[in-house]
Amino acid sequence: MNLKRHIPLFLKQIVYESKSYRRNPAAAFFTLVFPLLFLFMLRIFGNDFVEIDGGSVSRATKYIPMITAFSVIGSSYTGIAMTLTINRDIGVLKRYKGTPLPLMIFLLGKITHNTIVSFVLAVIIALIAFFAFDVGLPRNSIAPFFLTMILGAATFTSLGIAFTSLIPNSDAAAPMVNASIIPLMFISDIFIPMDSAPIWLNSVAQIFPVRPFSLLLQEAYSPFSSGSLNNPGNYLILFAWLAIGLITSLKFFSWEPRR
Amino acid sequence: MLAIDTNQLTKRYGDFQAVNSVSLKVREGEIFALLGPNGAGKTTTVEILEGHRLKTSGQVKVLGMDPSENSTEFRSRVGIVLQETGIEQYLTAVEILEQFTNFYESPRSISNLLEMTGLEEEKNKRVKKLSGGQKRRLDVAIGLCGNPDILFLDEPTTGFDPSARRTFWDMIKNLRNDGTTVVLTTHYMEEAEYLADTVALMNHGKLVTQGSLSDLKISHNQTSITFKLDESSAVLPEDIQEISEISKSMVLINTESPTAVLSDLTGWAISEGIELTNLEVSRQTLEEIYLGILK
Repeated sequence: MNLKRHIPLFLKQIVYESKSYRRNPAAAFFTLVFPLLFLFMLRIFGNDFVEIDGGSVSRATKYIPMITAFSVIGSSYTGIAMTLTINRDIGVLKRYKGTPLPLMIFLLGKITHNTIVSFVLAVIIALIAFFAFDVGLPRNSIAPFFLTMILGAATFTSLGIAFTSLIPNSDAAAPMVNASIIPLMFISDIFIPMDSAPIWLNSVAQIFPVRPFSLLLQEAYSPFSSGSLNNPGNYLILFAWLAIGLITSLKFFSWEPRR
Repeated sequence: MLAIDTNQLTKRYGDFQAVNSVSLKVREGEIFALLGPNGAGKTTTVEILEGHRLKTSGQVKVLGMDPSENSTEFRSRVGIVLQETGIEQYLTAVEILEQFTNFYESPRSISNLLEMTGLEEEKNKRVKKLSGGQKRRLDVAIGLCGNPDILFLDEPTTGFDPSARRTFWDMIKNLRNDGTTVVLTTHYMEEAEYLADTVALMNHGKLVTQGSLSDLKISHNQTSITFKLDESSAVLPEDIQEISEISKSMVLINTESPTAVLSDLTGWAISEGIELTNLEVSRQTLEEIYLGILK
């Protein structure tokens, strides 16, 4: 690695990724629209009190971290897998392959940009929750919240990139990506609270990164949490999946259409 | 010095021989045209040379390097213009060029790239808004970002109007005059005829012929003689009749010894007092040679 050359190259890649993303209004719009829709539904269902670990909180306080987890996974994992597959099919990636741009820089640029986008998304959701639903900001857990967000977004982006090596073409992207993530979300405390689920099901979900991510966010938002890193295990699981995602991406990434 | 040197290059997909023992020699600083019908193996050959595809067997050297090693040096010295365009839709032409020139240690200047490809007026348009021909020129500009020693152009002018094509050709000639080696695949024979120093013809994965354009014309040294003849008033002498193709009172003679045939023909016409209307003598074009070889 030639750091003197590669660091500016990496930073510039992020700038171009960001420009390209911001100018595609549809993509940017839909990443925001889904969480807003969720929040709206929450409003309709009423904001009475529910029990969580440590006491009772408003329904919004319970659900906001889950919505955040859902949105972040949508913008990082699903988003990157779809755009990469489309770009691969139309030859954008093949063009990069013909240049001296190192694969590592290209991938790190994507991951970093996506992490920033997810982070901004999570902050927007937190602010809307705060102003419109009276949900406390994760104030006394600000460090765990930030760490969870960065680690989570990077992990799901790298897994999204890794997953593209299994997707044959962009027509197959949406069904394959959804099939790989939605069932996992159902058992991972994203749509349905899993407090009363059988233990074995929670143990299975705990192997994968979605549940640890959701639990860490729930803890960060909980007014009863101490603000320290209570569950290092959940971070470790995310970290392990980040490593798996990175290694798989570097090894199996394909610049060219698979037909 | 050879810019490209392949020996017995072969690519197999299962039982199918896409490229079969092809030995190509491309000299530094020339425009080399690889011709052949669809499915002849041109693109596969070029993609192996570009490092996009792996060979099954044989030797390949491009600028003295093995493309399959995909080294940074190789990537820095080779410019590639693919057959299909795929450019980030939401960036402008100038932003795309800024991005790609970043990848190289000694790139061409952006103003130079825009000028060469005639994109100065479109530079602030988003790729999405460019016309097909403009996108193709941007493609070429991207291929030239690193100031490559060798430029691969895969069917570069498909979809161009005639004047855009002529401008494009002159740009490629200028590149060659600056010392860049250009490898071109094309369906347009007049494109190869206008640009190429050397041509190679592929068919069914094999190299059929390779040589300078003038050598190719000499070795397939046929001259076409055509004229109009009213058959009711005259009958050609037997030796000329034998080599003639006659349809609707137009006579076509393809011959390797035009002087003798013309002498016989005109001698006969004068002695019979016949005028050979619309008499035309021409060398075969590359297209006719091409079609003749593929027959």
